[in-house]
Amino acid sequence: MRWVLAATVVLFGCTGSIMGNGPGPGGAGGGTGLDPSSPSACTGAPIDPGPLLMRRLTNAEYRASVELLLGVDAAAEVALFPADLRRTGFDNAFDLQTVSVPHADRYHAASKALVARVFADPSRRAALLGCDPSGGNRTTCLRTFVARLGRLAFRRTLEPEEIDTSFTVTTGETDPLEGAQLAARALLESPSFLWRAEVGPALTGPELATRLSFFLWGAPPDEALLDAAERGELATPAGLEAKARELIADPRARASFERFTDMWFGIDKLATTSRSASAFPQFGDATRAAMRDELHRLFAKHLWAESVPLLDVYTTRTGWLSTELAGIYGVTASGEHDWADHESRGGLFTTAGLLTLTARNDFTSPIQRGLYVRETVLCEKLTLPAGGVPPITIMPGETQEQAESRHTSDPACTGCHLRIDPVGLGLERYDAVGALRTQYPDGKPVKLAGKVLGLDVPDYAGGVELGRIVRTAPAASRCAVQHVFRWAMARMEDKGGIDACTLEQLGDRFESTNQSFTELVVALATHDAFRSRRPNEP
Amino acid sequence: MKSHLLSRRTLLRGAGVGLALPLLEAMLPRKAAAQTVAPTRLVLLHWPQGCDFGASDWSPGNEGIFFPTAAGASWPMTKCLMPLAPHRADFNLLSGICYGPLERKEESHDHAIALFTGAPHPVGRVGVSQGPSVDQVAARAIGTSSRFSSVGAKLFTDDEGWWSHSAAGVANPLEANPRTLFDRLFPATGGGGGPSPEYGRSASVLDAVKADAARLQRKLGRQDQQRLEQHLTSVRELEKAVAVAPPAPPSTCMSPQAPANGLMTDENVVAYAKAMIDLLVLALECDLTRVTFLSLGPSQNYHKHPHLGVSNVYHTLCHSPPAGTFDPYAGNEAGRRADYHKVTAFYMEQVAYYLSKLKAPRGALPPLLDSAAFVACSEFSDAGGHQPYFLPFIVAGKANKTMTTGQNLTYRCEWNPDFARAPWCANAAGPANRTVNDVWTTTLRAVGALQPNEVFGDVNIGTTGLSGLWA
Repeated sequence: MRWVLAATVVLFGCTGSIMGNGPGPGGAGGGTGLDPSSPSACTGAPIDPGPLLMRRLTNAEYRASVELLLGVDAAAEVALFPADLRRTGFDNAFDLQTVSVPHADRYHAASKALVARVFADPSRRAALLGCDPSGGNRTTCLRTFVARLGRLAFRRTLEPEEIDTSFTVTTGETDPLEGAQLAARALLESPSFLWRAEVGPALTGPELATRLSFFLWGAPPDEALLDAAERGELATPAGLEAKARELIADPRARASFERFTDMWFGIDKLATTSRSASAFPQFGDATRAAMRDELHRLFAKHLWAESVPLLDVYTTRTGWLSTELAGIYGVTASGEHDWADHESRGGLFTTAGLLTLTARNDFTSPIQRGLYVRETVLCEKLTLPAGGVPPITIMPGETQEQAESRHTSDPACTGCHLRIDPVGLGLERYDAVGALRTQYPDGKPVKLAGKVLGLDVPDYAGGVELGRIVRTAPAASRCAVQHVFRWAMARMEDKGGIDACTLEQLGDRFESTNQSFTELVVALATHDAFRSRRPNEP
Repeated sequence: MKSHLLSRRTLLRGAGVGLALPLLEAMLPRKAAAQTVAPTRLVLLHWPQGCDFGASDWSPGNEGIFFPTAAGASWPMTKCLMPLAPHRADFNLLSGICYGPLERKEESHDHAIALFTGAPHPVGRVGVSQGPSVDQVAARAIGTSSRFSSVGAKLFTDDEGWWSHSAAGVANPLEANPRTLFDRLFPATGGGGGPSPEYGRSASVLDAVKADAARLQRKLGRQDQQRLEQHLTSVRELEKAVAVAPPAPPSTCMSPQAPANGLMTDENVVAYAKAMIDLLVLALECDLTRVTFLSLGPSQNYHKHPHLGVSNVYHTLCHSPPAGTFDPYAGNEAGRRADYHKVTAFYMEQVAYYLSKLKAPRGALPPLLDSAAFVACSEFSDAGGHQPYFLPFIVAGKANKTMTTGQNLTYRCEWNPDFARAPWCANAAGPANRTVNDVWTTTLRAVGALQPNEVFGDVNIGTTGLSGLWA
């Protein structure tokens, strides 16, 4: 397989590369999931955890943090924050993070509003304060409050000087409750809260707890986890693994990894996807919700159900129908549905949700669907030719079609287009909301056959066959590993370089556990790459 | 630390507006105002997906859709520029500006990031610029004494991180919600009976934030120190806006009206654009800022313009979809182009509206356009081919200098020989191969943000600036 892929790349002159395909340390052992009989150069090799700058709380992490600190939902405030910039779908790429003026402005307004909301409710306020700051008790109570809230905010025990700073904010107010609000606001706007800074040469217990918690819960460590970390319970591999398994069993992990697959597969985009009202008059909020719901159930099963391999998500015969989806699928059933031997239904590539999010407003785009399979499912990176893609320009006397064909037959373009377009053409039987069709609106018959160049397979027709092809492709297995890696490490993998061994070890673990998602996540959470850090640059 | 916090709070409580504030031109006596130079402003406007430049054969009848066929002052009005006819004496059109060397590294929509940064960027990495954008360079030079060093806005929330950048890799988010922008410009703090205690409270909170940053700073690596410094810069900017009570509004600063809710839809795009332009002009009028940026929509634009009777998404008006798939304009290229022209004309209406607001008389004060440099532009010419050649620029405003306006200034663009045949290119009066960097360099020099020997953007472009604009 490896050689087939390499040959294809050269043959078509596309500079795209495929995971595990490039030269890397250890030569043939540089990728993952390769011949297990060859001795791996990775055994016992020291792991470079790679570059990692401070990570700013993503908007989702900010919301989860406020939930933990104050017990209120910051959805309305966070909706006004600048959107997180994304890379391959994920919102946590640390090198894209910044606190711009609009960020600082929204953080300031949000902390004021959120703290005021808690303090407006006497019982909530009392619970948050934990003591009565009126009268002679003022100083002790406010300092205790600052220390306890600050520990959750900074995800570690505060230094005395830090308690002083937050306490000082309270002293300008006559009313101790006003003072307490200001202290809480200051904590919520402090860089130590907004940024996850790791400062030591080695990770401290609370720093590792913070990594673990945001990776597995999408939320900061709670008091129990901080306590455990400060007792040194994460310091041993066994202790770390036990804690990771404990966190994964928590409902917070289910919710957080639903976001993970949402971002990996672009499912979250469905929330704002619109369709042409004239072409798809039935498409609306209920349709969007039903599409997302089916995909969420599909992934919940393949992420968490006992002994269900993750990649079965591409071939499963189970679907989940609502009224809206039954209409699109042309059946009358509802609830969990067995597609049995239906020719065109079953597996991720036949779901209305996926087919919608890879289409345009009122038409399908084989380029979009082809790119989706290449990049999102197989983790291929289609690098553009060095000179750039020439624009499609209609020259005198030329038709649009002639201009396009001149473009795609240009040696600089052919390679990539042959890799992209035919994949999508095999899905042309599904329209822009995923319903089956035999012809385009203009009456021309739809193309039925597609081809996944680079994979040693015959032409395919329809999403069921595409699912089978992808299910057995080693690149798809490696791609799942890469996406978990990207999410956990908040960066792209350097698959031919420093991350080669990490990815190989994770891939081996994934394959040897029947593609168990839980085991993959545990393997990463306990891996040296995850539990260590490079020292600061001078 | 403790005493510093207390003393500062006391000062704010007691003095209310005790901190140094910019001298507002409207606060000056009438006679002095006439003699004092108003602050120089920079007003930037972006519209998406360019303009049709008349197919590529430029045969008679197929020309003059956007760019006029004649240079100089007596250029014939074109179809797409028609909404600007009432203002034609007030602006210069630049015909033939290109990305130059920048576009060779880019493709599709990616090179759009270079429009305001004048710097190349890694292919396909939206949001990762290789340098600051022109608005932020100006903000640091001429924006520091106003409450907001710059105010950036855009229509629609899709496509973050394209246009405005504080520094390489640091996107400057633009506000898409007119209500949020309004609340930020005109916060509801204060009220009757002296300055609100909220200003003092915000000052206290931000002092604690800065103290935390100072402690953290010492423990970080070099790169993180720079990122935290960026954060602190934002906090200091915020301080000006929330921790100091605002001065009494100048008399020319009309009492602001909050924009309506629910404007952020395709159906409301006319009111949406108007609300944003009104707010930005108000921010200039009240001297809350001296640098404004507005993007009228994302590149790769899937929005509709139903009020024009155009039912297809903007992107489809410029591009045909891949061969073999459904194309609402199949066999009707003329129809596609006609709809494209309608949308371009809509964007030119926004340029015209903006100009009319800036030209409006302000009592004893000169119109804002006298003190502002106004530049409207797009990331493409013909978006159908992602054309990085002949980028349209509309330049107006005196920027406290002089500029001969009403002209079509033409430049030969020889980066692509096929396009060098275009009439406004082949017969161009100006020098060859002028780039976006030349436009921005000239603009920034005019507003005093660059010295005459300094250039904007990538230093390898060969930037010299343009002659014939501000003097």
